[in-house]
Amino acid sequence: MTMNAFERLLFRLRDVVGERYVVHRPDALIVYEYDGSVDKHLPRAVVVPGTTQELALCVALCHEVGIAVVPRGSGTGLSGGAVPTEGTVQIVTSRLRSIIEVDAENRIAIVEPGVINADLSIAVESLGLYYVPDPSSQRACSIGGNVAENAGGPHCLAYGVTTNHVTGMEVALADGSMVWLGGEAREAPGYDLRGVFIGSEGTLGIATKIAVRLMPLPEMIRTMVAVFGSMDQASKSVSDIIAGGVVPAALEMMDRVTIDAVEPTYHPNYPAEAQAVLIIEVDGLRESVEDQSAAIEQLCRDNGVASYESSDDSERRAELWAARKGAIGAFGNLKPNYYLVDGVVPRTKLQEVLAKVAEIGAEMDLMIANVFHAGDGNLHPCILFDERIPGETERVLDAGGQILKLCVDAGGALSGEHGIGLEKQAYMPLVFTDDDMRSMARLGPAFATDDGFNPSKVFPVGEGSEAETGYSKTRRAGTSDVV
Amino acid sequence: MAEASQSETGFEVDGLSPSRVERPASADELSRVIADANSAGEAVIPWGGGTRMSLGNTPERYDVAVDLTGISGIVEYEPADLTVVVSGGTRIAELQAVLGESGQRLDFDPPEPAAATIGGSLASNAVGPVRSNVGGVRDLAIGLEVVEADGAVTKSGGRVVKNVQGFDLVRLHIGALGTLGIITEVAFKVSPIPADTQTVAGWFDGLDAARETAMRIFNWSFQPEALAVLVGARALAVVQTLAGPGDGESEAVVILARVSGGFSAVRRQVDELTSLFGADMADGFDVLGGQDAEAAWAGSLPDAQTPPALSARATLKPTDAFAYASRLIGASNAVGAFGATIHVGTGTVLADWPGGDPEELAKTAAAAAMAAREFRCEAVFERYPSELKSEIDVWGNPGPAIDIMRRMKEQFDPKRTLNPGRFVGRI
Ligand SMILES: Cc1cc2nc3c(=O)[nH]c(=O)nc-3n(C[C@H](O)[C@H](O)[C@H](O)COP(=O)(O)OP(=O)(O)OC[C@H]3O[C@@H](n4cnc5c(N)ncnc54)[C@H](O)[C@@H]3O)c2cc1C
Repeated sequence: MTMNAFERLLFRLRDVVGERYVVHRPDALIVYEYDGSVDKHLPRAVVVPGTTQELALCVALCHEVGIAVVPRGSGTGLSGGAVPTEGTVQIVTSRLRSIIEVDAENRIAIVEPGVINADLSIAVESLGLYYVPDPSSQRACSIGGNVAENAGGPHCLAYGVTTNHVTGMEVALADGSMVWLGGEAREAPGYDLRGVFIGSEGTLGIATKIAVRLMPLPEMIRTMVAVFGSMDQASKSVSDIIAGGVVPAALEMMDRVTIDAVEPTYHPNYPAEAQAVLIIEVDGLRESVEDQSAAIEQLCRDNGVASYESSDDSERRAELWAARKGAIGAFGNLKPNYYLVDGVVPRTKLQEVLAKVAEIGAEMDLMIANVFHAGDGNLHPCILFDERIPGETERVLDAGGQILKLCVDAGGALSGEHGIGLEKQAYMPLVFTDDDMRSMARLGPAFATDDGFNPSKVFPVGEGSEAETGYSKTRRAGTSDVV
Repeated sequence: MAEASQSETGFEVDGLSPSRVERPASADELSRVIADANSAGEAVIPWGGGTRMSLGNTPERYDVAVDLTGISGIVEYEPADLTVVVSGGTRIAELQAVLGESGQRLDFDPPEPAAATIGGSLASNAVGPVRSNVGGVRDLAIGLEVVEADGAVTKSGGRVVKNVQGFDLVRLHIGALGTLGIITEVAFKVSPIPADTQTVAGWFDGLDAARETAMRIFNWSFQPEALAVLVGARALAVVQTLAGPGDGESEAVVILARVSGGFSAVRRQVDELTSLFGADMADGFDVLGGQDAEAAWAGSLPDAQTPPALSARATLKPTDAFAYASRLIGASNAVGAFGATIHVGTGTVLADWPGGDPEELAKTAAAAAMAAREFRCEAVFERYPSELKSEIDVWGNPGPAIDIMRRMKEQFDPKRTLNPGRFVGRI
């Protein structure tokens, strides 16, 4: 396609969404070149449709001229899912923010994809309901982005992740047609295309409407903070709690480096000997909150907890959570950049793997902070660094790779909730064979995407021909004959 | 090596028999069996415990039956992680027994656990009452291994409770009736067996009265681990056991709520339920002891010994589920005894009709399908008079998403080796 043809496309896109919602001046594009991960790349243009119909039309127009589309919600993703690849047009859902319907009696809501996660829970709070999946980024991330990544969050331990709470979605396919996968009911005959779309990282289509389940607010919530003098004691407590058959609503851990980062901003005043902090929440019936919290407290004491606080008061609870919720932002107190490695290990291996992560940090002379969803074994070692130091980013990524190998060797997973995207595509062969990946790559043709959504992500790029592997191994440009 | 035998009986599907039966003992053996059949252009029907073989459209072709019960056993079990990996041919009861020794269970209790296999139950998306408020078996599986049509053995998901690595093919294969691959291994998250469990039953005069109470329970801040509403013959059987024979109107509707957890939490929930049933003027209610509770829950499922002639499954919004169920009552006059169970949490309605003239049953089925469509939902006929089965698609109309489903089948099984014709849209 010639430059002219691209300009014709821009012209037609402007026709659909209006002049100001098509961005293509390089200086204006810069804000769209990155997400929460370390990769960056400029899109060729950005379109911000105002209705789902406009969105579908934009998809169709791009598809017609062979330009691939990169969906973008709020850009908080941590695996490069929303980072444009060469020659692509980004379609952003930030204007699609209406909560279309709330059916309180059936506890169902239908929302547009740009709705901010926390806004949904706030909107239904007066009905005594909430939307369970609560990524730590919930004040910024979109529900469309949550669907694409199958996002989790602290409270997903007991109640499940996005796929357990989304019953269906309307999707714009490559040719601009829209189809519902699943619906408001919990299941529909045929293949579970809903389940397949969730976690497909924006490679199969763009969710334009999302039907979610809401849950009744619990009668009682108790938050506990247990401070330990060693990481070992804290990890062992986590393993003991799970092995003891108590599954709290949330079970989060912060290590010493994280404590140092949050102290100046949130002043949690943990005791001086604190090496690890557990933030634990139990909710539900008053009686079960009492039972569970007593059992948890006992296990923490058995493991030599240094200080222990518990509160049922919503204000105090918010304070107890503040340091955890703000931890990632607070890393700026220590270093300008962080690289968050999302991996999972069996919960019986926490102690062992965390110790090895620390060894990698020591060997490579890198500062590693751990703040993570301990209850489901979902590690988030955050490597803190300064990208201005030449070669530092490469060293950090190398350490990240070693940590992922640790997780996989321990019987774990490459990602618990942030997805593969650009960040981890090279590591997929650690877990999956070529046959496994070929099988996954069949979803694209099944959805007739023509490689038109988020090309060259999730699967490894670089070696082997496409014919051999079944998935694209080259970073595909949206156009091959750009003038 | 897998033994093959000629023309065996007992592997009939909708009146068709295979020309041979294969009994692989491992995924590798299965892989060879399937690859050979695929290159020979033969059609394969996988068999687990055989409890749900009535499901699906009449097969288009049927050459090879593959008995999967030889691929069985626990692969890996780490109680402290609350995860288990199990072979597809393992019987559900066998898995539960192993988990039970460690005080754990899989929150999945479909009918006939002694016969039904894990793989078959997943492929056919079987349901049971437990955790119907939280989610089905889809929400418990965390990883899967399948043998595909070309013999490739592939896996997806993982063995840890939370994983998003690559696409979620776990959910693709669950409920796919083995049309994209044959499930040989599954990783599950499991739960501790609760310290205490109680069932409270309340019976009501008519569906409307029961609906209000059941919806109130559905919207409580705590959720019973199972909440079912029994209608028609199912309700009558329970009422007569609880309140004595001769009692109970034909309009009787029963709410069964099972609560579990610590002792004090269970006591509290039982109190809440009984006072709700009292205040809502149930015709009667009772807290059921071990055996009575078991009998009542067994009564919420079709009887394995005398399978119904027609059964319909539909999943709707909970309030619609009640409205649909009352339409079914209206549509069933001609064929007599009819029973249904509404799993309130998921909105799944399982209805069945024990017998009758096939033509009358077909008319009833058509009425049920129409009723479901009023609520923008499709009724799936899990059992249907076999002499008339070829005249309908038992899965109903899947709507525009069928195009994606057809391409999915084309991608995974281009020669249509696995269960040809049996799935939705005769895929
Ligand atoms: C401080 C911080 C904390 C975080 N904590 C958590 C956490 O606890 N748990 C967790 O799971 N994640 C967490 N994340 C990661 C991130 O917030 C989630 O992945 C989130 O779901 C991304 O949403 P988004 O709207 O920002 O999506 P984006 O980053 O814009 O996009 C993410 C992916 O979704 C695709 N996409 C976006 N919208 C659509 C759509 N409508 N249809 C199809 N595809 C679409 C994009 O193409 C991309 O592949 C955190 C991130 C940060 C920065």
